[in-house]
Amino acid sequence: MKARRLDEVLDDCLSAYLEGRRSIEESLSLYPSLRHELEPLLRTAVEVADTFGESSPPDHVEERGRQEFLTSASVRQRAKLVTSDLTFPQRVSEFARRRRWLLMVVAFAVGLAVAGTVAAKLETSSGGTSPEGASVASPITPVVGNLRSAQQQLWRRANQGVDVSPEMIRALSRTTSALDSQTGRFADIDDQARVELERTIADQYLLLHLIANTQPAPTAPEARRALAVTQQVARSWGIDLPQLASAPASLPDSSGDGREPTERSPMTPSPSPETGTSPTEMPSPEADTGTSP
Amino acid sequence: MSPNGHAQGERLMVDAARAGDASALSELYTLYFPRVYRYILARTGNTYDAEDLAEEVFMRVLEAIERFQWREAPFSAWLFRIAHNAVISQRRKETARGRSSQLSEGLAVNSQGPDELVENRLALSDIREAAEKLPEAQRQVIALRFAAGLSVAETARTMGKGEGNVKVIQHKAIVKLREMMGQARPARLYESETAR
Repeated sequence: MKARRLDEVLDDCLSAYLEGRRSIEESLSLYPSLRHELEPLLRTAVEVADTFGESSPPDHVEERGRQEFLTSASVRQRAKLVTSDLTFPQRVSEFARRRRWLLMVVAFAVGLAVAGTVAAKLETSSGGTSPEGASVASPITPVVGNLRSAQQQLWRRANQGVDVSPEMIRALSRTTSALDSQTGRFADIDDQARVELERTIADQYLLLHLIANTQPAPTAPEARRALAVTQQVARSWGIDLPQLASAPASLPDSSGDGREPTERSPMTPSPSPETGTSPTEMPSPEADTGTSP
Repeated sequence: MSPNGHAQGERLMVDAARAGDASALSELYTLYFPRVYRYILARTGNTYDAEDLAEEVFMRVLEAIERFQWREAPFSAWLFRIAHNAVISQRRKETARGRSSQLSEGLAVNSQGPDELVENRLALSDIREAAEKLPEAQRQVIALRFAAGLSVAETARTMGKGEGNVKVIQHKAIVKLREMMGQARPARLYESETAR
């Protein structure tokens, strides 16, 4: 029988040990003529394997990573469903429908402004008082437009794996707050505008979840702060936000009572504005995922 | 479970994970996170880097899993190529920042007392220092075989080499490690004893 090479015998013994099929002694007894040469190598290899095997990740790290992994998966799945539900013609028609709606609102706003100016002139000339109960739709129209345009830019960047700057998120937050303060009583808005605002806020919620879970610091913490603002606005308007499979472990507590969420793991970074979840940079998906040898 | 049964079970799990099944994703994470962590720890010697990079690897997995194809490589080989690329990227960043890779002081090893922790840290430190001096291919084989727990076949697919070649590299690496650890061990043990 042709003698087996030492590297093959060594691997046979090592594989048997690592897979729990044979002990080192049992393996050595199978190769008595090689014992002298084989034994020190096997002892070294076993020491290396056992030392590495004893080094497990801390439980809280594993759990925190799992939460982030599953939340990110859920957000991706949700975002995929939102975009894949529509065929290309539907997307075009949806886009046109939204633009048409915006044009109608802009026309309405311009009409109101003209009417207001005329009324003011008439009022000045007649010395009367202005009527109460002006429409709430006109001042919010440009703000909704700005918000939608900012969202579209962010969706594009997030989907293409391009870094999103924290300034863009801050601008989105500011526009959301401006929209909230200009909207007044949500119940007073007409049905069509209310539906559009609900969609805008729900889309923004999904978008910010995606960014918070896929972008590196300092963008991710900024996105979590913007999420808190979005949730606050949704609550004040009485809007139900989309349900995600699991909430991100490090979402800020936006209830305003200052308490920490009880389910957070002990080592989960604080959701305060000064901290982020991951100090490492996240390269673009295409960068080096190693899909080919 | 037989190797075939195991492979089939893993295939079902990976396919479900690709379709976005949360429980399959969780199972995949449970199965591979500790192995990815150990692999990165073996390559970087730093627990903090291992924690951060292991999490980052799974985020990359999420981004790329839809593009994974069974005909190219087994899932483990694909996953550890991502982990390898993450280590290389990290190393490039560190080189750019001028930071050398150091073994962290606080090696966190579960369920160990202070003595065991010191011993493990020393052992890991010895192994890590010795492995650092090996050529890249040998270092990679040691980390994949003994830290990640891959088979020779999986290691070969991960590295894009033949199984025979991996066995030869493994043999050479163990011979060198034995030489280097034999030299380092007495001095290290003395330091450990006097430190206690």
